[in-house]
Amino acid sequence: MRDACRSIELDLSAWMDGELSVARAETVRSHVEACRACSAEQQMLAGVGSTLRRWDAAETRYLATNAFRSRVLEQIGAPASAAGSSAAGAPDRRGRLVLVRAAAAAVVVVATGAAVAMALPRGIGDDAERIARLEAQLQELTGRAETGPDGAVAVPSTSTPIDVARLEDWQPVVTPAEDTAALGGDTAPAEGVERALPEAWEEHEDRWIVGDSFPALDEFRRRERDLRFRADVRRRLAAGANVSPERPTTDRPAGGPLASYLGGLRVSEGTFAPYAQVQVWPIESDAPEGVVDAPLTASEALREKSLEVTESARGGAVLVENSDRRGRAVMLLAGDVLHGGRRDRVVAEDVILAAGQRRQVRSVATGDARRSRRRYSRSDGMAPVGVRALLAAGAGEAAIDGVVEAALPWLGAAGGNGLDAVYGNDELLRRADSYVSRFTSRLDRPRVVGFAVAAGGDLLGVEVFGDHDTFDALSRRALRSYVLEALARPRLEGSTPGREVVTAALTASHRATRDDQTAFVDTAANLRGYGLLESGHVHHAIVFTDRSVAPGAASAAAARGAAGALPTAPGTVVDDEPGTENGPGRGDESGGTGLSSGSER
Amino acid sequence: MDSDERLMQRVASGDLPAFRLLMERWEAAAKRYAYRVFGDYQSAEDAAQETFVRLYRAAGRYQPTAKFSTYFYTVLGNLCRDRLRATRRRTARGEVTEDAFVIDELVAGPEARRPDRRAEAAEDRALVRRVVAELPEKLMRAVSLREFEGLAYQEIADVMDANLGEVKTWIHRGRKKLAHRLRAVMAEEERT
Repeated sequence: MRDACRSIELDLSAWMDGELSVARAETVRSHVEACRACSAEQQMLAGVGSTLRRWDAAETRYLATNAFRSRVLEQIGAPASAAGSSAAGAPDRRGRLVLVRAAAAAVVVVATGAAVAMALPRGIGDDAERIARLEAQLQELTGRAETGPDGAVAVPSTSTPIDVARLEDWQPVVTPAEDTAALGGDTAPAEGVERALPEAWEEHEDRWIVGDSFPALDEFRRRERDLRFRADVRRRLAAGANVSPERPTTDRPAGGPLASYLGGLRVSEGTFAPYAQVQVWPIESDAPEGVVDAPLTASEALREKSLEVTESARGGAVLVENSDRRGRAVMLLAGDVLHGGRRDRVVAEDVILAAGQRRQVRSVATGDARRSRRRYSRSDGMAPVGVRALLAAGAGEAAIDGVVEAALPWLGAAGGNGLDAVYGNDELLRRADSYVSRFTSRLDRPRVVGFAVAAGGDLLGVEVFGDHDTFDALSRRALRSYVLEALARPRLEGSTPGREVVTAALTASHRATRDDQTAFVDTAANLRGYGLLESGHVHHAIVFTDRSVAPGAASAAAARGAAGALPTAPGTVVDDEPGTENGPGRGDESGGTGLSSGSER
Repeated sequence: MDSDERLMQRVASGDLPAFRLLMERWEAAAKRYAYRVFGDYQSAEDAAQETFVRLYRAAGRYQPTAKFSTYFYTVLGNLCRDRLRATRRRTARGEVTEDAFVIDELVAGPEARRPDRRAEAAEDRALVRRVVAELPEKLMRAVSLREFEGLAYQEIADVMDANLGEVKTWIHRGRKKLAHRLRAVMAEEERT
């Protein structure tokens, strides 16, 4: 090693980390550029960094949990109720005391003209059923109000009186920013509240909340969203019959079977607990039961050898044939992963395949190539929902590969081969299935035909099927694709959205679906989706949001030539790199959604 | 939004919600750091838990002039170091037969649909884990704080009670050792 190199060497790491002075950094940079040995050394060190970070991402994916915090609190001798209290060892009666004081605080806040949101204080649990009924009633009312005639939103009449008095029981949450604006002061409302009842309020980041009312900030935020919804209903009720819509999503009323189907969906009543920052809401429908047997899934059909899938001479497609002897249909869904062939493939369109039917189905290749295999032998599951969302946006092989590669380290499947790395990782699948199992009992109800899933604060999507039996056949498989998406994210941020977010997504989807179209986009609501219909019957429908694809993954997809973020405008075809095997959306009869109705039965 | 330093001051006066908020912000970081030291999820969880207990109990001694991150990694780092030494002592006395870093079965699970690929990925992870664990403690701590926690050199110096020159040397030597060891181990693996 030359003397010049020796003097540089010790500073190489510090230079790479941006820890040198400007002058010294320039000296090191110019030396490294000129010296082959030091340049190689620098690349070697950089390689170590990336190896370590990949390893770290695969091994240390931790989520913050309430259970952990509870154990620590227990160990320091905090009372069980300390989850939301502000003083260790405070007597249990403090919760009740706060209720009384919070009510007084409400008077203070309202009297000073501060803007308030409604909050649900501790102690309401004794009337939980009544609250749940009221919530469902209000939600239904709001849903109907938003679908009023002529673009105007009217509050409909209801045979059951709204329990407005009960709404008044909720206590206020003070939002300093709003209060400040209302009062023209800097911190006057908070100070006012503090002056009146210093121990009744606690500061939580940018919020003041009633002390001891919520076990956790996450819970508070979830509640807060619910309560904003209720406050909105109150405002509507108080305003009378006609209220202007805040954001019309379409110029004309929705129509057609898909729109009707989406319009009849609702979130099931009841309270549903999230698990590890993943929330699943059951979606119900009053639509009549399906008149045919539930179709076979790709997995079942391949396992039973009722479906033959082979490589197609046409690029970007596979040849499928339903040879089921019992005459059952097979449903292939966009996102189904097919293992085999020269390369594994992800199905890129929804298809119902009648017994005896044979056709080409669009698909996107994934993973490494194999030698001379034509048949596809199994389908272990579906791609993470972010991939499915990109398929719906017309993304092709390169974009899908980009998203999958970005996801693999977080899934603990680093170093693998495309989606096969996901489905070859038993530990990951066990973990995903443990999530799915948490939610299956809430989905096992006769009217439930689908679900909505959120990860952290992001609504990943809503997926529904034509009837409960079909949903039952496909629910675990579909739900796992959402769980995989959640697990593939570096971290889940934000608290779980309230059910009103799902209701809003359903309403927007309903309104955005026109006439007999089977795909829809609502750019204002950041939604897009499609349905698989056959003779006016909806077999399957899915709604993606702009959060279906993780921002990081969207960037990875964009880097590979896809637009990435959802939704794209109607008719937009997200193009791929030239020369790749699949032409996303090319020759696509569905107007660029990347999906066709597939109603060729 | 309250800074971590402000939250610690509130914790010192027995403010449990402030402590909860602090845990929400730092829980994952604590577990990740401890996992890198122990290579064992349960040990990492225990160490993270004990760290927060220590932070709570020592909150009264916390000086807001120091960055919370510095204080946090100092407490956590010391605790992990003590536990690791205790484990090694017990191992030396024959009380513990397991290698603290051998956790493949926890990470990968017993059955494999694709044994070749799964084993390969698990082996790669185990290899990196082994090489990281073999680093001298100071080098490992300095590299971890830089690579994984993104601390600035001065912060690392504060956490490790060292000067900037030492930190610079530790990080560079740590990376070099890792590079050479990884290369050597991989070459050895290929030969076998």
